[in-house]
Amino acid sequence: MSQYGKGPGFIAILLLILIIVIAVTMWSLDLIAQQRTFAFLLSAELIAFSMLVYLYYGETPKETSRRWLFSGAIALAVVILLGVAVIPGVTTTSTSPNVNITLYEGAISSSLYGFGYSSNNIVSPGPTLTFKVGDIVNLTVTDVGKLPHNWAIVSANQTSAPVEFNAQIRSPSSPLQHGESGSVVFTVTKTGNFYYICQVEGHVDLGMWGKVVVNS
Amino acid sequence: MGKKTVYDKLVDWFDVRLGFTKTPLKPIPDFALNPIYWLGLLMALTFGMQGATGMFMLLYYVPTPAEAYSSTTYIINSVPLGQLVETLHLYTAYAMILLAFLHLIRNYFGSAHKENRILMWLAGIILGVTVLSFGVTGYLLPWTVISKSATDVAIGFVNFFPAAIANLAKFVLVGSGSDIAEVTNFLHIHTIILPAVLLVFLALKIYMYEVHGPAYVSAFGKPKKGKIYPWFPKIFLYAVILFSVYIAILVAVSALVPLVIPPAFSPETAGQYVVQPDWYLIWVYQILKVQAFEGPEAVYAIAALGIFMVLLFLLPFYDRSKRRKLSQRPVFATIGAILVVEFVTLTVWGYLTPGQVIPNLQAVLVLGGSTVVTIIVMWILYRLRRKVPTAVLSTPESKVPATPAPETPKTIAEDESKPTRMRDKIELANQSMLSGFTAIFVFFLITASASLASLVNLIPSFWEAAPFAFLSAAVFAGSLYAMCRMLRGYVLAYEKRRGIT
Repeated sequence: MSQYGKGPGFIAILLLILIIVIAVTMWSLDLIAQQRTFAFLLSAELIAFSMLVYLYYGETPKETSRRWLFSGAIALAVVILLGVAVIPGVTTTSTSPNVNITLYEGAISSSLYGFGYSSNNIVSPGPTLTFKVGDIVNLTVTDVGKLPHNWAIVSANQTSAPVEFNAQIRSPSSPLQHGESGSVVFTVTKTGNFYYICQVEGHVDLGMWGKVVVNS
Repeated sequence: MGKKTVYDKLVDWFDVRLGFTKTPLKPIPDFALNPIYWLGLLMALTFGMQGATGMFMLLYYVPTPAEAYSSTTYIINSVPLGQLVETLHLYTAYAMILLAFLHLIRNYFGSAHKENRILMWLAGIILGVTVLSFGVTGYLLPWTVISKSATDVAIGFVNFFPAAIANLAKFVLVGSGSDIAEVTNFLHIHTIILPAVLLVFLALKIYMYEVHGPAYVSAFGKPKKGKIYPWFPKIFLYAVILFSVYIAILVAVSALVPLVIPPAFSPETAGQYVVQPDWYLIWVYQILKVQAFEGPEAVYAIAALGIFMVLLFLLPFYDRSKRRKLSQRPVFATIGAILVVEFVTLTVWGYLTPGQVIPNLQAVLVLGGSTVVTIIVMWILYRLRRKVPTAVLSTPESKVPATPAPETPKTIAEDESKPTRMRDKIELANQSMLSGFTAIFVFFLITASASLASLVNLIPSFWEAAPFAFLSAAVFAGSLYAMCRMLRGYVLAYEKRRGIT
């Protein structure tokens, strides 16, 4: 038995292990697409850590209640299972997209900008996108122009219009640079006519928009 | 003891430099090894988490009307762990507010505001208001259609105050009044001013906790063996376990139900959405939705809420009896129960009637009805308890383990079993009447004046609003009667006491 009773040294080492395990979890997961999984695993690691500390907490074996350890083990199992369940593709949860679209954005001439399905066929206005309510869309946009651009679905053909469906790739303040691409997964929640635009100031007027039609 | 392990050396190394095995942190009695005694420290931990997640978001958030929303969605959609951190920030905020309410309720019913803890109560109420202000200012920042509209409605209420106050309040909240000034001011209040206020009072409160130790709350069982543990390692380990389980739960819930934010604010679409504050302020909003408080009349409701807050703040100055047991404080227990029931009623009701104006009669019936039911239930509970001998009228716990010593729990146990003499009982009854007298009398006074005012108001349209008018008349008569009874009882008790001594 250590001079300070059980605890401090073990806690220090447990804490070190916890930090390493969290770091490894962060390293091995895609922190945008799999962040829910990461969160569940982080939760599991914290529960496991608290259980290990609990083992050293009781001064007598009687004080360490098996009931608590048992509940901890069940919580651990549930959280890990949830973490696996939310990995995209493992189960058919609402996070797996059923529509995949790739768009390119850039200049047609110095005063006309637009969108297209390929980098050498850019038109203004851009091609009309058609969705159904409930579609989960995975959309990738590549900036093939010289200027920085972003991409968003909005309610009106204006720079200031509000974003719909959280469908937005980057922002006007930190847009895609030349050659960069970004993607977004969003769920189409309502019918109607919308627009997709580049939100960088003035680019809508230069033709950077296209229609989005959502049918029921 | 001769052998020193690696752990010992490691601990020694830190101990020499930090002295944590001999620190002045207070030893904790065993009864406090119960999460109910840790609500305050959990809040401090929550504040730390809010700081960490908030700073992360501050790296990406742009406080301008044009980009507040898009930078928030950018954090959610495109920043690694952004959605988790954003959700965690919201849910820890909810947890913090919930803990604040629970902490308040526990301390109110557990009498943790009496005698040497008066300043702790005052600091606690200031911290509570600060936490709510965090919620209000943070609610605006994502610039969603609901949060922006709700904030504007809230700021609009300031207009009903006298011009001097209104202008000052508006200047503090929204500066020049433009959207950009509003969002910038709110961000600065949320990230600089409020944390500064909170840290100062938190430090004060932790200091006072170190002075007084945990307040023993008799409602949560008798003290156990009366053991006292040094904070290291037992209490420290307990805190580590509690904190990691708490964070684990918050993280798991954030992952289970990720945040979905409403659409962005735009003046054109704002009209299509029902304006609603977040859950912790629904009760205030529900009161303001009552027909009687529509338009400029709202100032009365706001003034009443202000008076309520002041009364809550000053609680230790009028709830001055030395009794701490719930069974010995029927009046304050009933008032507390009514407040909790009204809070829950207003919140649930607010969610059921979004954006509707509540007719006066309905408000009186629902709120008055829940109050009456609560009073009846509490009365029955206390009647049932009274049948247990010496449960109600035992001698007050004059020595509660404010500074816990091994023998104090024993005294409590003795107090409960000790038979009380008739004279003591009479003395006690007088004391109890005198200590609670002012508070109850003022309560009836306010009720009487309010009902009289509403009665006078209703005279022109007496028959149209007959039920409401009769109710006012009845409340007025009842309060008047109660006040007369109290005065009579007071005089009698006073004479009796003079006769005895």
